[in-house]
Amino acid sequence: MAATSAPANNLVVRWLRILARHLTLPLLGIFTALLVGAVVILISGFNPITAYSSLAKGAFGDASKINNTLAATTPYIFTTLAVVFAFQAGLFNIGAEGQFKIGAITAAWVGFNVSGLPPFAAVPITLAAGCVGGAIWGAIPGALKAFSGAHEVITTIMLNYIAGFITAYLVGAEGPLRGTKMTTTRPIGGNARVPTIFDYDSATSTGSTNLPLHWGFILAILVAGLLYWILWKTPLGFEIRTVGLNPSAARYAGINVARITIIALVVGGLLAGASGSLEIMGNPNFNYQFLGSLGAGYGFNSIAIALLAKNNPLAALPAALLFAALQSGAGQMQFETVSDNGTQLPGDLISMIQALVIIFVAAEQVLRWLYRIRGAQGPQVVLSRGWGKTE
Amino acid sequence: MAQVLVDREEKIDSTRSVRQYLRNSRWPLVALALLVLIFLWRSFFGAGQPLIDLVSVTILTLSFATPITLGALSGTFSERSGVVNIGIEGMMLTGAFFGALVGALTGNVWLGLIAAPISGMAVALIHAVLSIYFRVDQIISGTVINIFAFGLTAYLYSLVFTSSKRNNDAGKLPSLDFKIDTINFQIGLISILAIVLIFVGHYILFYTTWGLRTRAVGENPKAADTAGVNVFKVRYINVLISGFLAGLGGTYFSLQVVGYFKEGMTVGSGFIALAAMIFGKWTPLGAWGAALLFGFCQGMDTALQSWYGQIEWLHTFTQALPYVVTIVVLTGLVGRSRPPAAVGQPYIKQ
Repeated sequence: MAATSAPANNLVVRWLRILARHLTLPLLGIFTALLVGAVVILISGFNPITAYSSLAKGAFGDASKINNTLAATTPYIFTTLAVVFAFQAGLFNIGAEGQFKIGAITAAWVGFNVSGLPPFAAVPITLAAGCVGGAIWGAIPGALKAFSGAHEVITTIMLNYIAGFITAYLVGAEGPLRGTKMTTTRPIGGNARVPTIFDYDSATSTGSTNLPLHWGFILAILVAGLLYWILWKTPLGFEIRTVGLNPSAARYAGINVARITIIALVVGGLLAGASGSLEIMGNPNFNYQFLGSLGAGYGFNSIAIALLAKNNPLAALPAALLFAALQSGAGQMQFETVSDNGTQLPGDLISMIQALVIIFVAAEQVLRWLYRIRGAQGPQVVLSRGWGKTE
Repeated sequence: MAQVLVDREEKIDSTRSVRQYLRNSRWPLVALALLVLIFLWRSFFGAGQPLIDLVSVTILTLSFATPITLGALSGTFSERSGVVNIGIEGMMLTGAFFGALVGALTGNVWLGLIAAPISGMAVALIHAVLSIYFRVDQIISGTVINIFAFGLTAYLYSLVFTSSKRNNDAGKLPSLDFKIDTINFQIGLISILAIVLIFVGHYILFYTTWGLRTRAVGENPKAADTAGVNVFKVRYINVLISGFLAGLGGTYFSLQVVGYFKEGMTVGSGFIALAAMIFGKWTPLGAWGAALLFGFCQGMDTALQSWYGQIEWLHTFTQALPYVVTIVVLTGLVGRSRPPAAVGQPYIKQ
């Protein structure tokens, strides 16, 4: 590929080439997944063209829909970054869901206890509290991995369930944090809320005034850039990536692997906690209160998005957008795609398309085989290193 | 090095004598001791009938332990041959779904029972091809399997049942019923089958040529290859056995307990099963012991509720207990275990 022209001393050309090289496989993966998805739709007795066009319309049809899609993208960016950051250290953080929940409920609790403060103090305090909550939930698997070797894949999944039970108790029948209704907390005070970027009118549920996108979205983009900088431009980032590629070599080089392990998962938890907090503080669709169902599915979806983004914080932005678009377009797809005998195409199709995307992108070897692509693979992080404390 | 060899000898021996088995896998005994304590306590305060309490907790333990038992056995076969299988959860979910689907469409629950393990094997084949042929990292491959199984079952469920408003009743598998005083007790077919399969699995792994080859491939594939064992074949078949057992385990949820499928109904049992496998030191009998402990934790939740009514904090605590125990198990604070040496490493033939 590179041998087609003179040495690329033009910076733009070089950047485009790097971009093309990195984009080829993910784009092929998405394309293949959509193709297989189309076959599935066809076999199920529906028209794939109608399905995909209504999906696109549902996600990006008008300003309000784009707003909804971007609002749904925001939490995914944070949770995906939580996965990406840990993955760079060779850790598979499936715990975004639990960290999200703990962060969200901490933010909700602090959010209705800071009523006396002005917004410029209340908002950062509430957000910070949520981050700390998530970070603590991330520190547990981090410390367990660092000190006992317990594999983070299982511990984080277990902590997801435990977080679910704890939060369900807190907002349950006798829960100390429940509001007037069961399974929710009281709404946080107006001073702790993150404002929406455009006008939002809670009275109308549709139309151009329903624009729930909040400033957390901008923060998410900034944080993605910050993480990219940390990972590739600072000594800490270098240490993290070294541990990810080869922990033994890192140890010989004098890197404190235990410290990096804990940092990676604490930062991961912090990001997932931020995600949960901002959903409470900013997304008007959730009425500024903690819901028991909030955060469900974020753990595995963020893994999926991170795999699609090839664990690059900047690539996490479009990858998260794709997944959020699939989800926010699903409703319209289901509504508009009707078979000959009058049944609707189930919206769950998108979870299958998401799964197919991951199969083809994560298992890059399959794509290479499918399309006969040669060329060296990048350095690969090895996750399967035994389950816990062994020798 | 010598120490490692001694440990290894000891482990193989341990499966051959009851005394050493009790020493290495004493968790069923711990569960039993707890059980006796609780029912003594109940009798002491005069609230319960000791025999009925004992039987009901035992039955609950066996029932809740069923999917974990089969899942842990599934993991044992796969990992003994050197393939990490974190996709057990997904294979269980697939089994639960296809069991219920075939049961509901044909109106014959037995056909569902046959379909479930086959569907588990189909998903396992994807995992096998990804991790053995394409050499994808086995944790990633397993995670992909889990996400895929969730999406596939959710989609097909909506397609077949929700949107066409078809009846999703798959029927239930029979169970062994018996009566003490006036109280009825039931133990499901799958629960009995799981116990039988544990012993079959133990026999296969430790007393047959196939088992020896499986363990050899999991410990040192190169040496096994040199000795004429087809490493790939052994791994493929063991991953398929793993899928078969996980698919069968899934039927506990759909065909044994409720008689229909629900989205994500396996609620993390596949992951708890992995912990049981580790806790059981990669042996079927040990895995069973660990599964019984987890089953006991879940059974106590139900038992306590029926004794004392719903106490919110206690309910939360007992619900979370198996998950906490899983974490504690992994930290190695209670008994160390040594995985098969080559687990997680793709084999490349030279």
